[in-house]
Amino acid sequence: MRAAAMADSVTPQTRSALAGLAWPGLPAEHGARLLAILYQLELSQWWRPEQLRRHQFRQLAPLLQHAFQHVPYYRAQREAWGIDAKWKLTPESFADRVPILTRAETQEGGAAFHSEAVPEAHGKIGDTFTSGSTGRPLKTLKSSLAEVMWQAFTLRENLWHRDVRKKLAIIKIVDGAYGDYPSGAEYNNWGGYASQTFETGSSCMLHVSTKTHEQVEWLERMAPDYILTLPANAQALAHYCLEKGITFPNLKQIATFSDLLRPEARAACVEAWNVPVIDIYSSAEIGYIAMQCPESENYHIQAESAYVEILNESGQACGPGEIGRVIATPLHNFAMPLLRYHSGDLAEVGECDCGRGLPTIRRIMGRTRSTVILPNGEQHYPSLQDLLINFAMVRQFQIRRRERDALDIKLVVTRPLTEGEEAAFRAEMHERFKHPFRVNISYHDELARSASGKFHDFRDVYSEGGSDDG
Amino acid sequence: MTDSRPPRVQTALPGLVWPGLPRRNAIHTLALLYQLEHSQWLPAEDLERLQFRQIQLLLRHAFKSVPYYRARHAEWGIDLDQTITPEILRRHIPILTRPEIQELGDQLLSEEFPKAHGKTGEVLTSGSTGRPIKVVKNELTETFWNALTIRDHLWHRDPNLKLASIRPLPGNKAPYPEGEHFDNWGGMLAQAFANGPSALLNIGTPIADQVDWLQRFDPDYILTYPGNIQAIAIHCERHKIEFPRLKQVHTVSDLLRPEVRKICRDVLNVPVIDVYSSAEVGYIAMQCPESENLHIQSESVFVEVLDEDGRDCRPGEAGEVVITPLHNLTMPLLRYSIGDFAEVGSCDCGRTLPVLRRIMGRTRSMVKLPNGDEFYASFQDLLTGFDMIRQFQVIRRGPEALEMKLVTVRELSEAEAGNLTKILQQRFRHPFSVSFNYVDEIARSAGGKFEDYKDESEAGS
Repeated sequence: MRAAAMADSVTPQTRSALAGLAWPGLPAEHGARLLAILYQLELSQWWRPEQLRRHQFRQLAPLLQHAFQHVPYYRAQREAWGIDAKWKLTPESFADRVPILTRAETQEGGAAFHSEAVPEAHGKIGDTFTSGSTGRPLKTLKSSLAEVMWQAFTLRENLWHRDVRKKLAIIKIVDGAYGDYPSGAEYNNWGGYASQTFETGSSCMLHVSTKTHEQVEWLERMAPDYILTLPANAQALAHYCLEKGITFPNLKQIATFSDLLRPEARAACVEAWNVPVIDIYSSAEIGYIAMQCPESENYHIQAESAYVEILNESGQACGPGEIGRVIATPLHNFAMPLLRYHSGDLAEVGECDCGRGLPTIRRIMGRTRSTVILPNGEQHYPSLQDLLINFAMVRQFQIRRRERDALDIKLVVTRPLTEGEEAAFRAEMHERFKHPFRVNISYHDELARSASGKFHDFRDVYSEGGSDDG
Repeated sequence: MTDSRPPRVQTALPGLVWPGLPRRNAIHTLALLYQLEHSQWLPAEDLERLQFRQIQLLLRHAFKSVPYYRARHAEWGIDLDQTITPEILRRHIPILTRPEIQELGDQLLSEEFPKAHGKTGEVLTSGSTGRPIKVVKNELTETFWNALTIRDHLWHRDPNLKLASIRPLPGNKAPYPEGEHFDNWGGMLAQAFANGPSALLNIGTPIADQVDWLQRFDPDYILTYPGNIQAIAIHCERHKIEFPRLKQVHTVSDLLRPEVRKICRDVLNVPVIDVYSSAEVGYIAMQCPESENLHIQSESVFVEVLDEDGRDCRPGEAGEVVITPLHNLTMPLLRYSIGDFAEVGSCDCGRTLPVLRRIMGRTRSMVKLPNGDEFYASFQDLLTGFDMIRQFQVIRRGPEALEMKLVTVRELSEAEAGNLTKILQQRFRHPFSVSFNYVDEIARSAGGKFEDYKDESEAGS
């Protein structure tokens, strides 16, 4: 019986764009396209792993053909990798011939990863600039088709976990000033494409760098059912509310994305508000990698979006309970194909008894960032995502606060900053940290990771009262 | 869906094969299928709430733009600002009968309906009672029909396999010995999903030739009328013919009698999957993927099964089938009595779509000619041009004689009678003598069914 196995917690009402048609609805073109994809996702989540893999490789074939023909980096490698007309694509031959691509290599390669001829039907090409998980910025090109897929998976994630008729508060990095405290931004739906597809409730948005106590005040005014934010910010909010005894009466769930969700953050949210935390594992360059299972704390790899391998040190696929590198091949971005891309994250392979055939990750070990507690006691989450946009000579950064009023900044650069640039960088720090910290800049050939393999682009070592292990 | 090979969505985008994005119309179909995938499991009260959201719009539209309803709005006293429920609908809207549809004609057509619902088209149907009516539909109702056709296929069939259709076709289309062959199943299914091959044969083909054709095509599925597959099965039994690849028979259009299921199981060694639909309202019910129950297609029609006092029948009770199609704004039919009786059932599959255990409608039989040929006569459009005829029944009185019972508003002229005789002789492929017998009504058979053809020339028929 499928009833018990239906994914969605609450069946959403489709937005109908046709006069005289309420149910079943037919949305406008874009919404219909998203529903057409969601229909397929609805079925494919229950396929057996080998069925999923067969279809992944059906999609991988045209992606590879495109990459070797139209992407300079791959075109140049093709012969060296021994990929000729006779080569037959299988999971084994793919892993055997296509080497793992690191973030650093992608960064070095730059435009060599950009496709020279994306099929016209894939739409316009946009770009995003991210610091990613290792503090090094990376420019990612993305086609409209890849964006449509992203949207469909965003909807899947929402439908797996939320009633979209309720109110959503988003606290994240917001471009521009429209998400600034005290008003934030308010909308009568969950955003363009979601509301073209389904009837949604309202939503509101605030910049994540808003001070914690002000975020709490804003949330009390907004009274959301769900809060979507970065894990460290959720944890900071939970600690603050716990200390002050603040609860949000409508709140049903916290959703986290972008950074590593630590067990302490989950625990803090349960303790403060008695709500579960639903985590999302995605990245700008890969798209969705995994989503939390609707029935457990496991993560399901989004096999319809990316082919993900989790490999041990000798390159073998990890079994349940084993930890390995996360290697992802996004299936639909022909603007910048990344084959067997390793973002730097590690994950433990899991097993899930929900019935879905999507592969399972038990936990993710990767990116982590933290909040800062200012000398006046105020706390916030410094946004560093786009820090390097105006500092192209900086390859990587690491920021530590070890003293009350000072930040130590380690930089890996292509050339040292001029005096003017250093001053601009200091000013940038003051603005992002909302305090006139003394900024100590030093230059390095490489930056160390912590013993656990995690890379912390910022840690407030002073407030943690601990030692800096990476 | 538990099939070994999940259906594969077509794609119209270069470089994109999975998940697929097909052409525009197919995208709309998939958007509907997504909703159908969910709605079949909805709690019954949610299903009803959504259905009545649509009915509310339908009523507002009908009472505003359809002359027949507009003229009765005050008399019926229905308040369209209140939330419409099944009870309110029943209390205020009387049942609409086929004769009324015949009488009302264009009075039932909307004077103004949303442009986005597309072009209109007429269907003329003799329906289950031999009385022809004209119904005007549109592209939106067609879109729903297409989506539900695919639902039926995906509930019951793997579209990667081979399908043989034997159906009434205009003129000499798809004749024996070849029929017509296609590399897909046709229609919206082929636009939306990857398909296996299919073949089509005119149902007028003599049974022995149909069997020969089927043996050559060797299908996984046969789609045809119940009476036709019954004749095929009888032929196969007598001549010890088997179809080793055959997995299922899919019957459409007419009443499926239990003896047809039985002979298919016994002789062809396959189950029969039935569907209950009509040209004027579209799909009404489809067989459950897990049983012989029929699930009402609540996403497309609101169906009432009413006892003699006009109350809802409970499981085990049989009553009159009254249908409100949800999406035909061109010609809204509110509480239309289609002329069939059905028994209400219940199902354990988990789907919340209401259940009919069996349909008791009309039935038709095979015609056996003096030379031994057998075929399945089609009466669907027999009465085109004979507006004075309300109802008919053809009775075989002897090897060479047909009697046509007629319920008419006036008697046929000599020329008209001569014309109709010629048409019958063509349809029956034999120069039968034809007599006309004017009657006040045509009785249902003992089983409660209308039969538009009855063979009373042999014992036991």
